[in-house]
Amino acid sequence: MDESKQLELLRQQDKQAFAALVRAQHGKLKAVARAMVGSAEAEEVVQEAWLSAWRALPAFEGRSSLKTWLTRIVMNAAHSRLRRRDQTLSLDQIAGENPSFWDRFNPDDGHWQQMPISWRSDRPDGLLQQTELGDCLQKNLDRLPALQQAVFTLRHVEELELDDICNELNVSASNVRVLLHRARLKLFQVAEHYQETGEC
Amino acid sequence: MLSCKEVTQRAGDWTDGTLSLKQKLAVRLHLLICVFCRRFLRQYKLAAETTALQACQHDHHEVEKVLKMIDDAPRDQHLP
Ligand SMILES: [Zn+2]
Repeated sequence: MDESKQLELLRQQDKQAFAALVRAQHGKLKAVARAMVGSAEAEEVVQEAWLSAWRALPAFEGRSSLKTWLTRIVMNAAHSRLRRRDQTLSLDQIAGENPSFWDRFNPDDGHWQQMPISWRSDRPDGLLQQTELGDCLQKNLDRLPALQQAVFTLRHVEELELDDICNELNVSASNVRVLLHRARLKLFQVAEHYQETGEC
Repeated sequence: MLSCKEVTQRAGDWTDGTLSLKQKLAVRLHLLICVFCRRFLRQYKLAAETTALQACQHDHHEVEKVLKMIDDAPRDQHLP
């Protein structure tokens, strides 16, 4: 089905079209909610968001893509949940440099002294064949400082542009880049440790 | 010539395409001669993609719950 036809059906609150949308987007939106409010409340936040989306669809004008619009609804639901808890995602959570990683370089010339090892697969689905690796990565993502988690998830799950992430989270461009690099470096280390030892 | 440490410090900007042209060329030059940094950059991105794929996994019961909830929700009254 082409996109404009699908959009028209959604505006008319066609339940089949909506079900297809939920099936396609629920996982990604849940990941965003989880990054912002934690795993315990994520499902509820996404449920709320789907209900708001259902109600708002007849008035959806299509000024942004449907995907961006849904992401924003989830983020709004998550933000209001955080406000109720009297929390915000703030930059004082920017801590979390990965000090041990930089010990892998020779302090004199900056060359690798502990080289990266080769992993068992060069594809995400290949790596996730090692079932415990997935759980291990998720666990470590959940443990990252909240803002790192949110930036990472918006970038890699929702595939937002860096500018959009700045706007959504109200963080400067340079901080988004720092947070993203730290999150990715940590997850790299976790995955590599698993490749090396088979342990989380 | 950039050191391996300097390349890994630029890994984020390399991955996101936010390096200046000059920096991009410097990284590319290093990668021509350094198998370890090539491997690192590939796997740095791979770890992120793998985590993202895992983070999207969900129970299909959750989807069914949402659909049930929508089924019970009233339709917009203004629609024909
Ligand atoms: Zn190198």
